[in-house]
Amino acid sequence: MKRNMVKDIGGSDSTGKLHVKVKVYGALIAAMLMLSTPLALASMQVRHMDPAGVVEEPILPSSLIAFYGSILHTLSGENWVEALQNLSFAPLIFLPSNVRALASRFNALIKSTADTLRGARVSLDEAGSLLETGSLLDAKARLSEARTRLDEADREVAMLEASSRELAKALGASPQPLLEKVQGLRRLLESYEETYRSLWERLQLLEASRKVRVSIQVDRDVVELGSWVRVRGLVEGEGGSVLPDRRVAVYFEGSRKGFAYTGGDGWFEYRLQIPYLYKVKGKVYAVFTPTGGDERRYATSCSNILFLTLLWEVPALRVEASSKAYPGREFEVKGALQSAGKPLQGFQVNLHFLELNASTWTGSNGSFKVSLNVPGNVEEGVETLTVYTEPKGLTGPAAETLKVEVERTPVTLEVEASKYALAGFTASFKGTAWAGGEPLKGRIISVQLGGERVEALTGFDGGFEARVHIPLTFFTYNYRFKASAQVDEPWMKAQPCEGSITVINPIVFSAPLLLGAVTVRALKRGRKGGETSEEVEHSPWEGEALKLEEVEVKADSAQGLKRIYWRALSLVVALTNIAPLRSHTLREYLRLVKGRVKGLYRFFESITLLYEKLLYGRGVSRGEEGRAEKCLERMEGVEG
Amino acid sequence: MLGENGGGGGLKLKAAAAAGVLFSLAAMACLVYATPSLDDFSLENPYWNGLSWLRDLGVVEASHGYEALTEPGLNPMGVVVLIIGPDKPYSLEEASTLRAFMEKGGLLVLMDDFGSGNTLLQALGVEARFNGAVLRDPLFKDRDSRLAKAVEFKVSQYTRNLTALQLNHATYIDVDGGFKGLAYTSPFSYVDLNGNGARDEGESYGPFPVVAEASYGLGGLILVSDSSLFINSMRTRESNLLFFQNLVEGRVILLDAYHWKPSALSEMRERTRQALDSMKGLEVRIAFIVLAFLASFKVRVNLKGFMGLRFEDEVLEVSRLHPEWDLEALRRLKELRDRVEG
Repeated sequence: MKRNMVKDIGGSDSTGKLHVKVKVYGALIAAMLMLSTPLALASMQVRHMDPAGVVEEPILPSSLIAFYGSILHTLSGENWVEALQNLSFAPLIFLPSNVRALASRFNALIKSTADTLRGARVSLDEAGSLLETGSLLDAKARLSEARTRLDEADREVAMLEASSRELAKALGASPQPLLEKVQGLRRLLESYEETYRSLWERLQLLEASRKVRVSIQVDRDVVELGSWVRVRGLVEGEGGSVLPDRRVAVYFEGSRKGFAYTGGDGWFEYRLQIPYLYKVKGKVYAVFTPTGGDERRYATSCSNILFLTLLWEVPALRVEASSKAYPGREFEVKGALQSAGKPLQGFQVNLHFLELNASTWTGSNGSFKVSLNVPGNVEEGVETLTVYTEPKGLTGPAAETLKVEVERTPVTLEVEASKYALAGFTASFKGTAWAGGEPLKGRIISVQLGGERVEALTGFDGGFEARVHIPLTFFTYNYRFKASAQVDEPWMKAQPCEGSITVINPIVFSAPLLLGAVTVRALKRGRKGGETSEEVEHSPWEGEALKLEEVEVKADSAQGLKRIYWRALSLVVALTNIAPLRSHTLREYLRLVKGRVKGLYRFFESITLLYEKLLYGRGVSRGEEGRAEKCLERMEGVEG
Repeated sequence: MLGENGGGGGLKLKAAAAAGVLFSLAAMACLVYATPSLDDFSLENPYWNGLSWLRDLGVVEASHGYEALTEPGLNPMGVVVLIIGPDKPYSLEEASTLRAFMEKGGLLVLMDDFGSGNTLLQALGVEARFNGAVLRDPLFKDRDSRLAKAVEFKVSQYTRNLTALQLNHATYIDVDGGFKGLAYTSPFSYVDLNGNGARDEGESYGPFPVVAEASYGLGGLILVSDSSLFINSMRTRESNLLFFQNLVEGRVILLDAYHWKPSALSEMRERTRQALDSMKGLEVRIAFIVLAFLASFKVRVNLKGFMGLRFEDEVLEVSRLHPEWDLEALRRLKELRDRVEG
């Protein structure tokens, strides 16, 4: 197609039209090529979906109902935390806009119902515990709270049922699966109601029961850990009547330690061994819980609370360790454990550092020593070393913390290089490698310059010399070089040394030389041309004309056109005073006089080109000769 | 000589066509250079499937392999290698380099779904694999079930504070051999084996692991079964960006660009860029100055003469261009001119 187009254009006679066509077609080709290129070259392979252009898929109701069903089922099993955790995923579900508001309301209802039911359950549990210890007033308050929450939960479950129907309707699904799960919540609520009723009845019973007073005393209130304390107490009914043969539970710091029984005088006694709780104070009390026939006669009662001062030794722990640790290396920790200046032997010492745990025992002089292997992959920074000892007997625990800086020893390089280097030659880089102030021997040092990289080995003094051959392909430029040491040890880190070197490519000198040569040649040619021009300017026309006429006589086959050309030439010479040299071609002369013959030029150009065709081509037609004649007439007319 | 002036429509046309083609080539080169990349994961691609946002983070692009990892001064613990959606298979040598990197404490994050990531896993000798089946979730998703979400996370430094990960056309990981799943899709997700967009008999339900971790020497290997988690259109969705921050956490990022198959457009742009870069050399600039100088003096360089074109060749060439001209006359004219020019 392109070939035909060219042919069509080539066939036109009009140069102007030709140019226009060439420009139009050229522009069209260029435009087509330019516009199609990026699209044609771009990858058409698509590996993902553009989220902005994705068409919304219809929702799958069964999945959503299954999700909510699962949460309601978990709630029915009183797994509050799990249910609420699952519910927290609900905002991540994609919902159509018409369902979004309903689902949001449904989520809120599930959460509030769960909170209310859990609150009711907590109140009921607390009320039960309080009834056990005879705190009737507090128990009553808890039951009152439970009542409020149960009523609230009842309303919320009813709303959940209604909301389930609405949600299922919006999804276009049956509400039955959801309603069945809500029924599970309803059953849970009913079980709470049952518990509430039972506790309320017990409260009523206890309130109607006779009060019991329990009082205790101890033989001493400052005690060593592990020693025995005698706890004595009295159980009295209303009016001060003693209650013999009753069981009383003795508690220390909330933990029941055993039972004691009242004698005929209502008194009871219990030998309490103080446990090894390394605290300052310990709480002691006794609780009377009616059993058997007493359950409907007496109320549960708690005694007065006594606080015992606990005695134990606080040891002194001394820890010594380096303030710095290096990854991949051992880190030693040592210290001693003492109490009142005396070393403590056989105590367990625990250490925790960088997710490492270690244990050891104190020796005869109370000292200990542990070596930890610092992991090679830890980050640099300040870490905490924790050391603590286990308590034993009257000696309590001790703990100490130290701040340790984890760091890597930097491997530094001092590099000397010349500021300049020639491409095609070798550049030398000398230097020394140091680590922690000591020379680093036998280490590979890599020097990189541009794309070139060489390696050198450090000597005993840490010194090295790397010679980089700079190829001629390097341009003249200020290149950066980088030298670094090969570091395999995790406790070291390389610190590359960078610098710059100016590479000069010798080829760059050839450019000014070439430029100079070209300039000289151009100036020479210009001077030569000037002389020629001057020569032409001053050539006598007559002499040249005669020689040309001789040629004219020899050419008889095209007499007419030759005559026309020479006639036109004589007019031009007369006008410009520029005669053609023998060496000039027709076109060279035409160029020479261009601009000096003004209006005559286009006629003289036509005649010259036709004459050229006559001389070097296959002759001219009569029509063309006639055209040349007309051009000559126009020239003569203008000249006249 | 004569051909230059011997006016023929054909010659002018050819010259114009040649100029047009040259101009077109130059214009195409400019256009290709100026047109942003459309390649998946390209740092030059500012559109939805590119990673242009990573460029601002100073990500180092490994375009020619992993030479950077073998540099003596490199501290692997401060580097994370990101391999996202590789196309080309991995060689044993590349795997060996990456293995050494991880053993010295480096972190390798391999994000793939349907690419060549399994060739790397095989070469590394680990048993976990990217399954290659498309994951869908009808519930925990964006507008399409293939835009599933990972909603369950195990405690890890990489999953800190994540609420959900927005996936895009992901697969899942066959976790095995010491790998620990870190992020899972919901129990409602399923694998769409036959690609019909619905769950059928034999297509298993989730949760599926989409992020898995394994220790490797002093370092670690993290697998993510979705290559598009961090592309421009996905990075800000759900906790994707936070996940990226957890993975990177102050490390130098080395992005593997070597295992992508660049489109023809990218290759052409790269060559254009190389050509333009070569012009920055002082020698090239001087050459341009010389050319401009030559043009200003209108010095005609006879290339044919330089190339040793013989007398007869020139005459024959002119004759071929203008068959209507007289061959003998041309020879005479050439002789005359040579004499004059010395």
